[in-house]
Amino acid sequence: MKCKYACNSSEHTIARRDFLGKIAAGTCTMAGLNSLVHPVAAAQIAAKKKRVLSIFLSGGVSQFESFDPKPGTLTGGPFKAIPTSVPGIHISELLPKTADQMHHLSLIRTVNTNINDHGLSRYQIERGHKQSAIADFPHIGAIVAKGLDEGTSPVPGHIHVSSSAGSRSSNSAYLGPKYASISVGTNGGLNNSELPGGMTATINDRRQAFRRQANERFLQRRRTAETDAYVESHERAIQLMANREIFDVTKESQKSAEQYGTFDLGKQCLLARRLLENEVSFVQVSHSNYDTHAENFNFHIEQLGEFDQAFSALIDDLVQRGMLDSTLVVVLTEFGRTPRINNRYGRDHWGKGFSIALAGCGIQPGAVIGATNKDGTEIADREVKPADLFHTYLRAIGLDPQSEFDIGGRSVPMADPTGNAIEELLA
Amino acid sequence: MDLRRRTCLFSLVLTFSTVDLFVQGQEVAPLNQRIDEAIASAHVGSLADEANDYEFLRRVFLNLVGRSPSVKETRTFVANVDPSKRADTVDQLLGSTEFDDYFTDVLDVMLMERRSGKRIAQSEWQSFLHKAIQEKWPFDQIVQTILSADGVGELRGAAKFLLERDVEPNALTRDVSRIFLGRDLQCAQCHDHPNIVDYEQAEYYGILAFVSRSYLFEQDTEDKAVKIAFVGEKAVGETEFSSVFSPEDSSHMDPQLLSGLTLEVEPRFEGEEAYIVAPSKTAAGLPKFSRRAQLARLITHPANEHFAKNVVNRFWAHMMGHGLVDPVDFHHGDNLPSHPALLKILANEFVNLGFDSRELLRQIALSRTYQQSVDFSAEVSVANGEVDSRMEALNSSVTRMETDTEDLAFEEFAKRLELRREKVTTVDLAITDAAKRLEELKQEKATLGKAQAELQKTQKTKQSQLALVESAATAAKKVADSFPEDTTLAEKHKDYQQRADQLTKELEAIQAQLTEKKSLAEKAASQAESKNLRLARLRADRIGLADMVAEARGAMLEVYSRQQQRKAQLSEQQQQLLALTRHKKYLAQLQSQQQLTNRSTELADAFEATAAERDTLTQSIVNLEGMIAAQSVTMTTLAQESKLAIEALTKRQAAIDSLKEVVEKARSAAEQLADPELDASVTSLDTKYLALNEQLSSDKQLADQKDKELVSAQTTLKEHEAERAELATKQKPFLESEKQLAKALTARDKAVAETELAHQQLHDSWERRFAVRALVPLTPEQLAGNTIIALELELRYKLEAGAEWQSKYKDKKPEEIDEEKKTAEINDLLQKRIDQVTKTYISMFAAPGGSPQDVFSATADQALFFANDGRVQSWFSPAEGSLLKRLESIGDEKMLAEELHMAILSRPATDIEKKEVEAYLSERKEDRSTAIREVAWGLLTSLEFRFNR
Repeated sequence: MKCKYACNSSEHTIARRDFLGKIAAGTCTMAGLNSLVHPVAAAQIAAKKKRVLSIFLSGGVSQFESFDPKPGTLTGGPFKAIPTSVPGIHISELLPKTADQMHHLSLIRTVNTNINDHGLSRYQIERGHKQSAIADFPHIGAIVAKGLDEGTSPVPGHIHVSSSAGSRSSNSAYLGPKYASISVGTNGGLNNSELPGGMTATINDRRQAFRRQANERFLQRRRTAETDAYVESHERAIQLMANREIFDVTKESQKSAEQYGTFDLGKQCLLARRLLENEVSFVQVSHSNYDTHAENFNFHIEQLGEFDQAFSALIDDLVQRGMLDSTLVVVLTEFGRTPRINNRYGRDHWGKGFSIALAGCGIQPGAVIGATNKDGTEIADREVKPADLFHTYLRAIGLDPQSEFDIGGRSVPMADPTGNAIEELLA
Repeated sequence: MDLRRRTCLFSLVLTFSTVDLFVQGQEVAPLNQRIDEAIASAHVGSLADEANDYEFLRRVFLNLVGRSPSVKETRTFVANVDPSKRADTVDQLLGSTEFDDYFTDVLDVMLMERRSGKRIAQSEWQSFLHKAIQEKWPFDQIVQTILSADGVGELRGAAKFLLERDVEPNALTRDVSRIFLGRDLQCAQCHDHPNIVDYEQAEYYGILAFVSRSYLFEQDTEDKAVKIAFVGEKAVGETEFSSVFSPEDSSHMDPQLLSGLTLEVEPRFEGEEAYIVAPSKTAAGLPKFSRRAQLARLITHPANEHFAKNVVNRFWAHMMGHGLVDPVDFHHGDNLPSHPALLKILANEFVNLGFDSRELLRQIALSRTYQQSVDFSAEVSVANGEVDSRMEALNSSVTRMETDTEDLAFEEFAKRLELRREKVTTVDLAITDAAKRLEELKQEKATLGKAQAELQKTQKTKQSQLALVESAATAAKKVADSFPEDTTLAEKHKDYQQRADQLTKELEAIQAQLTEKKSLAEKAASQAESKNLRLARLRADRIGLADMVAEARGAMLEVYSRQQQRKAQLSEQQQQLLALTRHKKYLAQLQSQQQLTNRSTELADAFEATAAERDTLTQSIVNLEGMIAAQSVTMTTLAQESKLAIEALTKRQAAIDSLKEVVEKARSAAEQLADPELDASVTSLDTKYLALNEQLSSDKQLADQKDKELVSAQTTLKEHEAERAELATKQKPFLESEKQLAKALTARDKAVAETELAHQQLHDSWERRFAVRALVPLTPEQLAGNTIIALELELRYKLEAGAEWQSKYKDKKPEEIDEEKKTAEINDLLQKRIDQVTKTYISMFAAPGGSPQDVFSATADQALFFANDGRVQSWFSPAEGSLLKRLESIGDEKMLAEELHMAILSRPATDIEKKEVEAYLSERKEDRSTAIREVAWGLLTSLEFRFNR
């Protein structure tokens, strides 16, 4: 039984080898890697495939200084609320450029995790379940990557962008290492994607050929889904090495770099956009640190100044490239900050009623879900639970949150079955 | 064994229900043979051949000590001619310290699933496991120790299982049932059979009731940031649950296991009496009666078949690559064992062996089933007819079983149990009522008694007062009578008398009250007596009812167990049917492939036979076509010439015509002018005219000739074409058969592909039936162990560790060196290096902590790690003591290839492989050392290395 996964055969009659067929075809044509293809073609591919970008404001951004301002109240702090491109919606004056993009965005002002602990609250926002000793749950990125993975692209489906290249995390729980986040850096790009010193591409080709030759002989004895997966992983790695530019933000134009901002968040957002363009299903960018127990206002001026520039440039860029229709963008944080301003001009942790923003991928633009009361001390209307957010995200990208994954014979629900999608955002 | 003694203090009633206890004294074949019999009898077709020595040795090393054999170990084993060498090797491995080390890791991963957590240091937990394995604790004892651990004393490490799950009752219930019973009860709640749901829910809460009183206790230390965790337990706390189908009815749940094991008698203590150590802010509770300790005892009890089945299944999966129940923690109605009979045999034997894990592993390793090859030979195995007849038998059996009505019976029995339970509840309510009333009556009687006593006390006082007053009155009367004139004395007597009368009246009233109270007390006493009788009756009733409940539960469990057995049997038969269906499909596919191959061969042969004829024909056609082509060229030339001739002719004619006109005109002019000069020119013109006419006739001839030639050429062409048409007719059948041949070849290729698919599906299916050895991906620990052995890193690291030690203590004088300490320190340095390799593989290849670790996944970043990571590069550096260094010194490329394959793949190189290595190296004479690293890398990253075969 001759092994036919190499490019010399177009026959892939065995269904479960389909992915291998696709990847094998990829070895010849580099299908699925768009960094070097024409922008229009990229846009066409972009329009078809859905993906998610999460911008995580770590430490807990203040809702008062961002998306739910309460000017002129005891709790409101010193900043004004400004009108946005959507009549009737006002946000903090710290976000003037974001205000101009409001017609692409939606706000949820009543997210409730009911927990004031960084780790536990963040777990709920990122995993859609309460943290417990009973079972660990996968990061939303792992779920999205597994749900959207078509097996055609060699790029990892779940990437967290940071300032330097790193290794794989273990945030995929039962979905396994394949969907755990890979850390890609604005410095260093993708870990291990460069040949070791002294090795040329020709020599690498040779050793890989030697490995393939040994494999082909072995496959004549036994071939299984697992051997296919192992063979495929090496072919994907080779493709990633050949296309490591995808992960290199310095390949972007100087103009783009300036628009997004030359600070870390700007670079990371730009790299995120580059990755999304290249079929990465889920990208997360983090911005630190909003944990402003002291000097809340000064810190927010500084932090949100960066966010405002990078985020507005990103939304604008996604619109220009025709990608926003197929990219769900979510601006998350683990919790908000207290209405009470403490004696160090700080605000403390506040899990019961804070704001997040969403855009793209069919999310109703210009909508505001839920309302807090006059001074932001309570949810006045439409409480939203993290599980509800998960159902909303998954529906937006065309997955059924009620369905189940089959994990090696064990079936697990895609999302917490107690959650409900926010229908008015999906209309 | 303190634990066992402690739990025996309490009387336990064990309900033996479905367990087949082994027959004493009966001669049975060794377990390894019974395994093979069970596998063979459940399979139609041949079994795979025995794996060769190389494959067996690598396999058994990987499974028992977590690494491949060294080149030396392989050579020694293969050279050994002792027929019992396989069994001897298994014994040696099981007796080695390497086994203890490796199984510490295996049990750790099995029990903790790489959960993170800092309450118990990993080293403390591992040293507990290591001790248990080294001291050959029976498996039930290990589990008992883990489940009853409280974190106190020398076995503190054993508490990691509980502590890193926060001693959270739901977490413990889920993992106790998953890891020790092989059942994921969380999913049982989604089952669509309402009765089973309730039943499995009861099982979930039955386990929960054992652990719900346990809690995490954290003790402060001097360092505020550090707390020491212990497992505490309370003596109170009941478990309630309600079904999702009827949330309003909540049921009280006693601790119980599905197998029917339950605590029938739970001692009751009052308040603080219940504790050895009462729970407080500074101490973890330690009850006299620990439900968790009871769970530890009951769950591992031989009568709890789920425990033994789960453990043997996990060990089986460890050895064979997949479980008889697979996944191993998913034993439920939709995922039943592939070989229920074998599972039962293994479980019973494991109990009989006193939960001896080594012996179980040994028996599995000695079985032919374990030792068979990954290679598969379905073609020669069995006649189509046998497959058909087996399928028929299975089909009718499956149909019969599917229409069985046992499900209904189970519902009835479950209902019956429920009704009886309700009766007990009614009686319990009545008992509570009666006891309450009795208590009230007792209270009443006591109140009355108290009142009576009070009254009697008053009565006594008043009686003595009365006596005094009366005697005073009598005395006063005497005094008054003696002084009749003294009225004051008479007054005094009257006073006394009045007082006596009043007291008498009061005493009468008291007497009346006393009588009333007495009668009330008597009434209450009689009521209490009757209540007491009623209570005794109710209690007696309850005992009878409890027996009836026990009987109903027993009956239900029996039906349940029968139903489970039938389901297991049905499921096995369905699996066999699937395997047979695939077998049949494969055989059919193979036949069809054969037919199509034969047909295409026949057609090819027939076609080949006509080759000479076809060649001649083709040659003739080629020739003819050449002629036709030439003729066409000739014709084109001729047509051109003919055209030119006619044009020349026409031109000439026109010239003649105009000359004629000129001549006519000249003649007429000459006649009119009669000029001789003109006459002469006319004559000259005439001559020219005649000459032209002559040329015209020659032109005409030429044109005629060309025309003729053209016609003749056309005729020839037509003749050629006719001839060609004739040949084409002759050629037509050949073309037709060529087309047919092509079609037959396409059909054959398609059939070959389909047969390959059918073969693979059958192979998969037989693998599930253990008729052929599975390919099993190596675990991170096995990858590490294998890498260290393959690249001969241990010696290299030992040298490096020695060098590191030397450089650290370079200033030490020889007489200052403590050799023992030196060896220990060097060993530590060596171990650190080895651990680093393991850690690296775990970080790259393990599933996330806290989730099942048996799910395989291959990721691109793992491959990138192999391709480019610095750590991998360093393993391949040709340092002193390493394989790479050794290979460099081998001059002969074929010998080098042999050593390379022996080291990395634990087998000799084939001739082709030797040639390939030779070819690879011959192109790189100038950087041979690097090229050797590349081929070694190629093998280490190959499939053959990645899998246990």
